[in-house]
Amino acid sequence: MTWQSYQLDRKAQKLVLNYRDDKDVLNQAHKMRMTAPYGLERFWGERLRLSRERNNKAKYWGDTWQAFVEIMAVAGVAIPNDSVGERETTKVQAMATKLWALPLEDQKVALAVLTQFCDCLVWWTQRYKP
Amino acid sequence: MTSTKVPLMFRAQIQGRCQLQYPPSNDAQTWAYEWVVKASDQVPRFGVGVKTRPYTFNWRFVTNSGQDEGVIRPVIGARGWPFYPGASMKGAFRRVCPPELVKCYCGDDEKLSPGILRFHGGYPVDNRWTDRKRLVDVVHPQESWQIRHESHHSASAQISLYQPTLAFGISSNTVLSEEKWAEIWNVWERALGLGLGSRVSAGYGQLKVKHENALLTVNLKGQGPASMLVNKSPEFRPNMFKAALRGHTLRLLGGLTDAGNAETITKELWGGFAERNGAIVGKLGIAFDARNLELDRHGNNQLPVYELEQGTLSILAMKSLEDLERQQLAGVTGLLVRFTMLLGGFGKSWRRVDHRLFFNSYATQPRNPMIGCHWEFNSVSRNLYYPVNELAEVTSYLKKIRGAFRSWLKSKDVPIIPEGSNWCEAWHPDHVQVWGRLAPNGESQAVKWFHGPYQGAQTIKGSALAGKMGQIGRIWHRMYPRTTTNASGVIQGPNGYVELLTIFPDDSSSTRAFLEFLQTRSEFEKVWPL
Repeated sequence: MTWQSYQLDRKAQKLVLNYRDDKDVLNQAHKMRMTAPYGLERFWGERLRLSRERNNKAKYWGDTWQAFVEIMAVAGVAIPNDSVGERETTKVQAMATKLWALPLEDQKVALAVLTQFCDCLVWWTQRYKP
Repeated sequence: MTSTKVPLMFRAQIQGRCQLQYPPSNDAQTWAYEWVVKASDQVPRFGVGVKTRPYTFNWRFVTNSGQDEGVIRPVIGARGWPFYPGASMKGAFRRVCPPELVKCYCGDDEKLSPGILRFHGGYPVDNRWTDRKRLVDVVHPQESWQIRHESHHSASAQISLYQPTLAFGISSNTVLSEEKWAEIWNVWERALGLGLGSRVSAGYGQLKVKHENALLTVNLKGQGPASMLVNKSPEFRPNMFKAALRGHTLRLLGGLTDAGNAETITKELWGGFAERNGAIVGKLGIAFDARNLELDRHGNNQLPVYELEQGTLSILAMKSLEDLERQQLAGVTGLLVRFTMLLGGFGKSWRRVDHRLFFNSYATQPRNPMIGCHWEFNSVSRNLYYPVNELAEVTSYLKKIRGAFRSWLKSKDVPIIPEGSNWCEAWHPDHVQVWGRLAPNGESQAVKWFHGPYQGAQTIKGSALAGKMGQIGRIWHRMYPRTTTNASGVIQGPNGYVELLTIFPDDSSSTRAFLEFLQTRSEFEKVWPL
């Protein structure tokens, strides 16, 4: 077995670079880091909550979730990632059910990765902050 | 785990999963239950060597954790206990610490050397905060509904602690004498005098300590319908005083300058939201200390009512002010309080007289709702009454108030716009009329007109003028306790009342007919504008 890099840090850097010029959005990395301990559902749902605001915050959360899903896929854990709108209550609930139905071991690993990923985002935010 | 059993804190904060801030969802109640039930029942204790003192808050206390965006909830610490962070405590202490002591106590910013004190924060001294019926606090801004008569107004839930007692901890890395400790606690109490946490200008986070920043202190008593929390339990909510004073500030300014300026000055005074730039801290705030307060229920609907025998309303300067501005603001707030007492009241149903006092046959019918409130200055503050030897004096008081606001605006270089704003309740001679009569025997004539015909079959009941459920009327009714002055200028009374109707006429025929009736067939005389 050889070393497998999941490139958390590189992916985080790319995300931060994409949003670094957007003042409204920059601090979302810190919020993401704080939200991570509340679990996958709350982290996932934040994008929908923010979609009411007219800025890129929701998009940043969405892109972060997408990157996270891709990382986990490489690791062999399929994270549910349905396309859901804020008002589509049934779909929201279905997505919540899928997330909590993940095997506990997978949830734990996913959260550890998500937390680390957010730490990377925060690290890069602090570097690139004007 | 099935997703339906997940505690609300761990759910997506969106419709269908958890909507903490939206009262009808009842999620806030459930959230509070899930929080409290898992919190430890052990009271946190400070370490050895930490000096502590307990302080009790007058009403509610909230420190926004900033963690859950879109909802305000306390900082929650180890084992689920809410607390006031040590860093915030240091900030509050430093703000009032005499300059010559700051470096020693709090550290030197330039030399980056630490101070001798450590601030350990504040923790509840017992489990009383866990009463989850009280944790959920509904805030309901109604200004645009009441003043501009716009239809949109909605309540939002926040989580705050009800009358908690917190022990605050301070330690020192050097041994200090008793005198030094007394000095330190003295500084801390000055910090408490400014209020702690969020929403202090609305009466949150205030303690029973001396408010050195008080511009005006007023002793009041009052009775009326109490607010209800989401779970229907009654609460006397001091933020109603700020709401009343802020509302009248807008009305008075809205009659003198345009809407934009009126709003800007009001925000400058009382704070408010600044669109995308967050919140503005205002120059003024209130603290209310209620003594001898009773909550009761009224009628078949068991609507909660309060009876307050003694309360102290303090208008506070929330920022340090230059002497001139301090004087100006003390004058302005004094006028606002007197204006409120003259024509309206505080809290729910402030546009009507208390029916238990002035329409007892209505109020004692168990099926009738509780209507109206009644407020009076207590004897210590009696000199705040406008003496009314004759009705014409009311005219000059109203002229004086408007005149004072006009000169204050001029001194601030705010343009006076003759037509004012176009709000329904702008205090402008084209928009509002005040009618009055003396009621020496204490009986109200007008109260019956809100419930039946005033002449023949003519009525204002349920009209646009008197309003109805879900629609704000255009008339305020007040029985103002009447004081008089004797020949040597000494205040007598109160004795009897001055009955006042404040009317923002619409152009309907029923309103015209009513004004015509007031003019020709009633004891009321027009007192403003003249």
